[in-house]
Amino acid sequence: MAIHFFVAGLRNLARHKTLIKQFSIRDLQARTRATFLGLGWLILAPLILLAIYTTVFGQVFPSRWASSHQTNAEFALILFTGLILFQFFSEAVARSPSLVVSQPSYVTKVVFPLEILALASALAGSVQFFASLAMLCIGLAWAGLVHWTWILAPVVIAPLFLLALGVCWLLSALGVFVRDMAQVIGMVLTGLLFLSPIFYPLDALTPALQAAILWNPLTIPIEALRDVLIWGRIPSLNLLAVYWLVAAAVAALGLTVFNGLRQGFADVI
Amino acid sequence: MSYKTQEPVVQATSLGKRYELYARPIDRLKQIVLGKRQTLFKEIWALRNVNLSVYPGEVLGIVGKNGAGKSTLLQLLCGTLPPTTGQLKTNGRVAALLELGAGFNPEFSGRDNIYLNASILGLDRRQIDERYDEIVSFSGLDPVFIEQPVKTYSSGMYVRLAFAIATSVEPDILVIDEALSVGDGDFSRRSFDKIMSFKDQGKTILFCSHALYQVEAICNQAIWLHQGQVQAQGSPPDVVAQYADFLAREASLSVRPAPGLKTQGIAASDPAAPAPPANDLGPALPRVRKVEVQAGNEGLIRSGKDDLRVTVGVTCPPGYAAPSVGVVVVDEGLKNICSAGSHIDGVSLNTAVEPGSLMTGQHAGAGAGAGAQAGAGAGAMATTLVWPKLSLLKGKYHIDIYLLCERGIHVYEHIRQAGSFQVSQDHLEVGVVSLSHYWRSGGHGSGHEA
Repeated sequence: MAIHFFVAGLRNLARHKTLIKQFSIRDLQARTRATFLGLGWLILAPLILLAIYTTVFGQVFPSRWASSHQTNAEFALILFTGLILFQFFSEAVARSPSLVVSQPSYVTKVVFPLEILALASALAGSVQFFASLAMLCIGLAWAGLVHWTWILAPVVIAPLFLLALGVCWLLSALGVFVRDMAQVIGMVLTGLLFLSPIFYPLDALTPALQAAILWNPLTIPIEALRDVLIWGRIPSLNLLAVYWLVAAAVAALGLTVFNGLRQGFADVI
Repeated sequence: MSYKTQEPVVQATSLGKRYELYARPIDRLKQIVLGKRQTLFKEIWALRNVNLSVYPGEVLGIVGKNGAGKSTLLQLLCGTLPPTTGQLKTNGRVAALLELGAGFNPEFSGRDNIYLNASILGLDRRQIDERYDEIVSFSGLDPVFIEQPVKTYSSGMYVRLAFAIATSVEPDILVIDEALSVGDGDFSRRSFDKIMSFKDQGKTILFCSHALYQVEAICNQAIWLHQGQVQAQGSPPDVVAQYADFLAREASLSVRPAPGLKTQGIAASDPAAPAPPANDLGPALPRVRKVEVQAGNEGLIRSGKDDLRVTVGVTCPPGYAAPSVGVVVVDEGLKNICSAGSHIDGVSLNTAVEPGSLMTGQHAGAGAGAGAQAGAGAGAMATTLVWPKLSLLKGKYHIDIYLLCERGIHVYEHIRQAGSFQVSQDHLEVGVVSLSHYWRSGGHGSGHEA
């Protein structure tokens, strides 16, 4: 039964490439439509956030990095690396509980492959991510931090995308039945932001805390992305391999659960 | 019939739909986890044990009162609802003309929604590009509006665009709710022609209607649903007769009788206003200009002695084939007593009778479409229907007028109680009509002539 749900889900995704593309573009447009700056927000929004966090954690509460021998610009780049990963994940997850609920006509009125909603949302979010990543790379190049390890970045980023997608499927299905999901998720995401090595280096923590914080789904990609982009080192391949496995499993589970629960959508929407 | 040797395109076996009512959404989730061990819902069976096989080219009509399960059945047939019991097999692309425009995103432009909606219906980018111009021109939308968000559209524009998209996918099976046309005025006629062209191309059509007359006119099989159960199934005349009977019985029980026929929404159904609506701003349609009922002596007919004459004046704008006229005599309980249709009797309303103009109906039936006869019936015309020595028995009767397309299916206008008359009788026969009869003396069988 579960296998059937998973296979049917994959087949639907493969069959509806046009629709996925359409919905990703629409999703992106819907975020920027009728705004004065339009796509300019893709660039501006992360920069404003970066300015705030750099000021707070570089000047107001100097973090471990800021107090060591880094310059302000370097600190900003380190911060930005973690921040854009978090932004991508948190946006995808925060939107997910309402993905299906906000489209009642796709549930009850037309024959629609609902599983593409999560994928389209994640894809649209990754456009924002790649815009930020491009800015980061420009900043790094400007700071003279260009490494050959940059080519490993996709290997580091892809599993986070899979994980986010899996969580999206899970939450968008559960969100139909449990409407308080949105409230809970806001708090969980804030927890993930501060309990990940975004504002502080991992090695500033005690070994016990380090081990604990590894369970944050963002820790491994953040550390690994910093390794390949900023420090020019090869990240821990063991951790990365485990992370890939877990992310793929979560994505498969998400799709399976989503398709298993969808029979009940029409009864409550 | 020959096509029965083919595989059915729609086959349903013991199809049923149960709605589960949950007090809270989370109960639905618990139910999925619990499976069959415990039930947390109140159940309502909207449909039970429906079996059908529809073959390519057939038209299935579904009749029944509101809430009988017609819409549920249609939704099951087009796949928007999963059946609770039974199995459904469909073979081919289904286009649902239910809830037109349901997939639209109001913030996006008409153009965006064409692409979005058509890809939901299963077209890829290239196919939509090919059909784009056709969709826009069929919808009749102003090019200015195509780039505007659809939230700025009137409901008529919304439906027109949605219909144009839904029918652009070249479906094999068409699922239609209520009416054989959508929109208003001119578009109503064009959408009807489009649907009929699908029928002529041998596509399968499933539709539900309150217009029993339409069900009889175009369906190969019919189903009467009552409270979710199949009450009758089979040949349309049989099913419609049983259903009409049931309606009549119900009507006689209630104070306010339920009319068996419903207007198509384009005509004013106000009995006091037989004239065409003055605020009709759309393109001109064939209209009833005047109705004159001439019944015996000042509206009183002596049964079997006086004639009933109904004169109907019609205007027909250029571009339309000459319409046909239906006249129905209804009794005080609004039950249809008898009728005559110019299309049934092969009478053309065209004043300037040309050879072949009587054949318009057949030509259209062969797929030529309305365009071929464009202009054939333009102008003003009138016709008089005569029932000589009307043999209805005493009572008060009304005349309903239908103005129909040349095929006699699409209703341009339905005027209820366009006129009325009274019948008196000087004998004691009972019933509604005195049929011609004679008596033979003797009594047993065929023995002795009178």
